[in-house]
Amino acid sequence: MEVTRKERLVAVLAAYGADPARWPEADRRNLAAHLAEEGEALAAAQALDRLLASAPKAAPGEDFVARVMARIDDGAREPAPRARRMGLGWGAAIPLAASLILGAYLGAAGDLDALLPLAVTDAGVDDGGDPAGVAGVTDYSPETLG
Amino acid sequence: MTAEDPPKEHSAPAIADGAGDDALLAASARGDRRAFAVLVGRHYPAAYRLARRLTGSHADAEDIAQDAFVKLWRDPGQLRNPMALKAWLLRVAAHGATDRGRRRRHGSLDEAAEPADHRPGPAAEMDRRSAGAMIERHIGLLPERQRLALQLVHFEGLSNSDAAGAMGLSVEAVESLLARARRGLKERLAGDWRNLLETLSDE
Repeated sequence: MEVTRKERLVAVLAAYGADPARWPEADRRNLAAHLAEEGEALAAAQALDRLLASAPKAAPGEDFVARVMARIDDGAREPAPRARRMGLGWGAAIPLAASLILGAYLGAAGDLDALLPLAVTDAGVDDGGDPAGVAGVTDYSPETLG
Repeated sequence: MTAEDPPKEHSAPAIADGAGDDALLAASARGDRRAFAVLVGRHYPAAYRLARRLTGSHADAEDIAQDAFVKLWRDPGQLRNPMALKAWLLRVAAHGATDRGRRRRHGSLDEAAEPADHRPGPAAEMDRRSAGAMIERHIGLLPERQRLALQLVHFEGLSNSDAAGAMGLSVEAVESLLARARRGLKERLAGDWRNLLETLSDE
């Protein structure tokens, strides 16, 4: 459905306010000359703009440039994050690739159990879905729970 | 630039304070601290204001704005379009504010108070300062993304496409957030609307 000029102008006033300087460029080009056609929406947008303009403008503390430059001087002595990322990327790439190849091979061969410790694969260990062994406990005193 | 290869003052001619962001950023990437200081002076206040509006805390906003510039200094190459430096810094500041997880309700530039507590009675005088503080409190009560969209476009003058890039949203989504923010503010301020406008037009 095509949006009419009137509809778009109302939408622009509602979103961006009454000052065409804040509007998207295309809307500024196409609609600014028609502002007066939407007097009610324009007045409402102007009123809200006026209220917004009265909000106090927060300002950073003095000497903020010096404080940033001091942080930079401190930080320059630390390893840069980018360098750390680069190091991790190449350093970890080879073992990760090797792990991927090994995992794919073992998955295809179906022989994973042979490589795992007995304690992990021992069929004689059955926790019955209660690995902590607390399923039947109704007394929660420290003596009972050990 | 790394710790092993710290920035060095380059030997190129000093860059003018009025140079564009792209030239200053290029000089900064070569280790020109003075060029970088110009960028800090130019854009730090906007990063601070955005962080302040999102966190409501002066100290947090200072930290977040500083972090954004430290990040830029250490890896200026991460900024693909030097002309969009301000939008990039505001995006980093917004992420920093979100990461802090601060959801302090704030209104005035001092610490927070519920808006109703500051609503003047019928006979009360409202001056411009208290009107501004009330509006600031209500802005602070908007949902964070609406507040962020309002800050980027209305207060910092970013285009809707730059704001969309900074927020990781579509232009349409930003426009919707802006419309909801303005509508929400108008509704929140409805009881004081006439009084506020009279106060602001009287002075």
